[in-house]
Amino acid sequence: MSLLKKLLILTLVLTGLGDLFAQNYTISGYVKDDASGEELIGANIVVSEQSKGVSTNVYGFYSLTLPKGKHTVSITYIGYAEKQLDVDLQDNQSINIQMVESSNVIDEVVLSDTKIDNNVKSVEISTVKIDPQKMKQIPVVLGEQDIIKSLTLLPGIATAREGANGFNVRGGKADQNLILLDESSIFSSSHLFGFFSIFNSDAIKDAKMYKGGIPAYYGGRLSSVLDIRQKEGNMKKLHGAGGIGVLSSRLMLEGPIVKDKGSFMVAGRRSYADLFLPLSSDTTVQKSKMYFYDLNVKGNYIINKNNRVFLSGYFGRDVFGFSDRFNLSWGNTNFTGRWNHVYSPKLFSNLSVIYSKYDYNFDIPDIFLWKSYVKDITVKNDNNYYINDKSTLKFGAKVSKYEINLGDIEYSEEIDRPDSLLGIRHGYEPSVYISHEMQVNTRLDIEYGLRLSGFVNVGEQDVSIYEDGKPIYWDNEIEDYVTRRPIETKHYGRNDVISSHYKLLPRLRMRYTLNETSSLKAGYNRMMQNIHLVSNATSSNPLNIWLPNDKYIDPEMADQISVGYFKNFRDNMYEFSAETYYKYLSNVIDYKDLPQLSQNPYIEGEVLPGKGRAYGLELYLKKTRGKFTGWVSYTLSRSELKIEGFGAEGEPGINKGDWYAAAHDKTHDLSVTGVYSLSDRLTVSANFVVASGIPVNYPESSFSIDGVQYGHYNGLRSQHRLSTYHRIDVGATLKGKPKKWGETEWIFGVYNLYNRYNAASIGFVQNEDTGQNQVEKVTYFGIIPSLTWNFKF
Amino acid sequence: MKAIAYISVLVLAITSCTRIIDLDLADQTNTRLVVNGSVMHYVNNPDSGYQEIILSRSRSYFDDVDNDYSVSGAVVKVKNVDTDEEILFQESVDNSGLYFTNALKGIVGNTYELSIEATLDNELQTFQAVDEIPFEAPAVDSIVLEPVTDFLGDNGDRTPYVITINSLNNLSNHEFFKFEVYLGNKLIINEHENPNFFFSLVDDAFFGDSIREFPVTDRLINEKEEDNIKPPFDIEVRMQSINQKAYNYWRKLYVNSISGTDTPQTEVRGTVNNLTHDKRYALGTFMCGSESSRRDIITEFPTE
Repeated sequence: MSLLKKLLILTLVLTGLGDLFAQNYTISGYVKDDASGEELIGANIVVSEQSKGVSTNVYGFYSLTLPKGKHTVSITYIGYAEKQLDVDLQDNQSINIQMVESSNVIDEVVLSDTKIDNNVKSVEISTVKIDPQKMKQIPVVLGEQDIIKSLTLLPGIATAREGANGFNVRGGKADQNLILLDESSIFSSSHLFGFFSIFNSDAIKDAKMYKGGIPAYYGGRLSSVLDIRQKEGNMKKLHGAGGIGVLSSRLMLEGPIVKDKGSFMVAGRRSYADLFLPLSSDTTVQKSKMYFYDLNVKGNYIINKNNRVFLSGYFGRDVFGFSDRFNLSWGNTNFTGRWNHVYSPKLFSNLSVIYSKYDYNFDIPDIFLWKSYVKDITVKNDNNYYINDKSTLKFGAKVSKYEINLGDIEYSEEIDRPDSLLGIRHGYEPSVYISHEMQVNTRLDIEYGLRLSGFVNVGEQDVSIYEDGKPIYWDNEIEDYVTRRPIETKHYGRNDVISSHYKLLPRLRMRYTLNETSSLKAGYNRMMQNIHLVSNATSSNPLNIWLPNDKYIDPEMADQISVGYFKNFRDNMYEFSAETYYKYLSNVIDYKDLPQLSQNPYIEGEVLPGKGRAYGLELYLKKTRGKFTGWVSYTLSRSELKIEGFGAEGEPGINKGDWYAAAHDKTHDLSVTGVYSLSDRLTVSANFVVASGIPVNYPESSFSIDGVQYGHYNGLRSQHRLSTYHRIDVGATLKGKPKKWGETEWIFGVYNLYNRYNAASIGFVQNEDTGQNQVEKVTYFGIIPSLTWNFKF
Repeated sequence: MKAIAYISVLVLAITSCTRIIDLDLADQTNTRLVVNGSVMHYVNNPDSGYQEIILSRSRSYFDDVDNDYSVSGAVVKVKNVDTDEEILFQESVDNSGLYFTNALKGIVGNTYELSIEATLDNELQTFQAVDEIPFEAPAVDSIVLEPVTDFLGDNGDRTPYVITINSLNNLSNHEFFKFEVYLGNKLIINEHENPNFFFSLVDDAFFGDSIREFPVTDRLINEKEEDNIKPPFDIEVRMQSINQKAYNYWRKLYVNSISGTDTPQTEVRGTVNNLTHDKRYALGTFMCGSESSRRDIITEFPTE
């Protein structure tokens, strides 16, 4: 056989174009919830006699090519009754499939796949899907159901400490997570300085997290992707749901705009602790403010069977004011417009226009007003081409325009001081990608892809020019890093290119089936991050700013490889997985000792580049059915940085140039979650969490100058750890008797049942009376009872 | 609903707290010398040759603060490297660790070398430090006391005041200043600095080199009821021009001291090297500078 012929056959096999020579037809359409008309993401459509199957995409669309003739098509989706269709394929057919929810949903576990053995059969590795409606059974702080807090009960996902802003995935910093709400970037995912997430569970349809094996479709952050989709709204009739809790109340309404053609969803949530402040006898407290609110909206309309449009938005805000002394507010504003178009039964396309913004205002009346924001406007196109039942091509392009205000402080006239205006940074982030998912044979599935991503930092901007082109250097004379002052400033006009970076980012994930109940999987991804949250604390705060790549800051890069073994037992009642990963990071940012990060016009001079690595083992055992469900999750991991500086003589870097544990590193992290159904109406649940303390530094001695006691530190980082973190939470859900108008339920919870004072941080201070050194531990949450009343109609 | 409201108030009241804890901290392995010393050029009294060096010992973190940690019997010398003149410092008779001289005039632009021989852990150790007086401190033209609205309003009926001094610095140079404030003759330690706006230290780069008013300290007076000072009283501000290394030292020391474990603390190393044991450098620092000062009598607190 000639080489050319071999290549031709290989190409046909790889792309599935061999189907061109067979008499095949395609069935395509949407899989929907029968009651609401909501599309189901990840529903499985299988023709068992052909060993062929596909899953619906994020819009509920599927396309399956089969030989001419009669077939029995089976459709499954967890929580729904299996459906079978007899199809006689004599031509391409468009079939929308309605699924009926199973009445036995209480037996299902909160964190679930879309198919009972999807963990073994899917090519996805290091991926978890969460059902926001079912997570209400997990006890949480103040009864506030929280997608992110629920995710942290899974392997590889953690928060640095209680009340920390954001979360950490496989040793990554909190800013290394790409959080998408209907494709729109969420730059800060927390309310109340990090105690609660911004996601209202009533408004969320689906949430999926990628810790590794990240497909080429995603880009922009190093460590993970959390892709959250809002509900589309009920196509059939008006429905509502809501709840009254200790901290907040919420209400969601959904219904048809035109029955079976268009629908809407509106959800709101507001905390109301501040409503009780006027009861205080203290006038200062009376005039204070402390609340947050969210508004989720979405609408969609089916123009015809090939075209559908969506509009969705999120607007959320935290407001914190102390009497009339200061006001601080921050929040996200997001809008997404989408157009789904089915070009052919095999080609599905989506065009999105997206707006994302995070901003904050800090106002001290008569002193200053401090404002900052980050926003991006994105246009993207994504396409799924279903070559055949064994092969799907995904490709697309995206461009985002970033605008980042690094912080403006406008002083009042009384202060008589020039305003501090750090200016606005601009950048474009273009990318294109292609990936191919294929079933090589009955045992091997593979998805490989490539993403070309770039970042172009453009004007209008005044760029500081430094001696030797470096904004920071090691000064041997003063034995310290010195932030240089610019020798000149160069003006770049609007859209003039200041710096640009382009990288090829390969992606791969594969599954090898060992037998019906077990498989081996592997994943590899290279990621690039072009905007960076400026924070040297264990967790960020709302006033942190984002800094884009520029002339002095290169994109952060990460390569991660994951390998996993997946095994189900007893007819998929038990799922087990063991995954291990290694992540290598380059151009990561850390800060020189005691950096000046706030309102610093030369902030690039506070940053030191280096490298990082994270590795770990994740074990997960889940019971999926029965009266008792739940899971055990354990992570053994390490996350480290090495910052050597620029190689100048005598330059120590950070930690004397040696590896040191990242601020959020946790060696052990164990979570046990159980849900027990006592009856059709009563369910009880519990969590047990135990984790290593995060790295800290303790003084090795003390000394006194002018009567003040100081601790002396040895300059090495992460030499000690906070004490072990642990707690137990318990909860109970009591469903009310069905009423004519709908259903109700009471959720009782106790967070931190044995009132463990877990350390959020510790401080080394002097006793005010005796002057003796002492250690002060800060704890955020002791025992917290909660009570929530939920309803839906 | 009522139950939910009560629980809401209750949980807000009981969450988040601070506790003093026992922590198993290792004892220090080696005692270090602590040096708090300077050579000053006195702008207001250029003929003064008074200089002092205070020596003490480091200790384990939980050792009793009331113990005597002063270092006696040391040999302390300072040499003007430019003139080769060396002065032996005299130990104070009260064995407080104070070593002084009245015979060493600080000269702007001159370099001074400190040498110390002291016994620590039953071993005679030798220390050395070098610094230069960078430039003459500008005169303190006036001291301004201004009432301010306290940021958190937690002073009740008491009015906090900000102390600002007016002075004219060199616009073309990158300069560093350290301020000390004395009420009567007592040095005031300002415990309320924001680490990013450290009012006892000034790097004029952050003021665009054009600073005329140096913020010395905020909310100094009337912070605590028991510390209240009633007019009339003396207030003295000492403004010291210092080198960047000294500025970095003091800034790191202060920021370290007010940071919790949420941000990484750093090693703070002054200028004093240990010639006997390289890694056991002395804590504290030896700093050369120029000092201008002003003393005013406050007869009454100003009002808005």
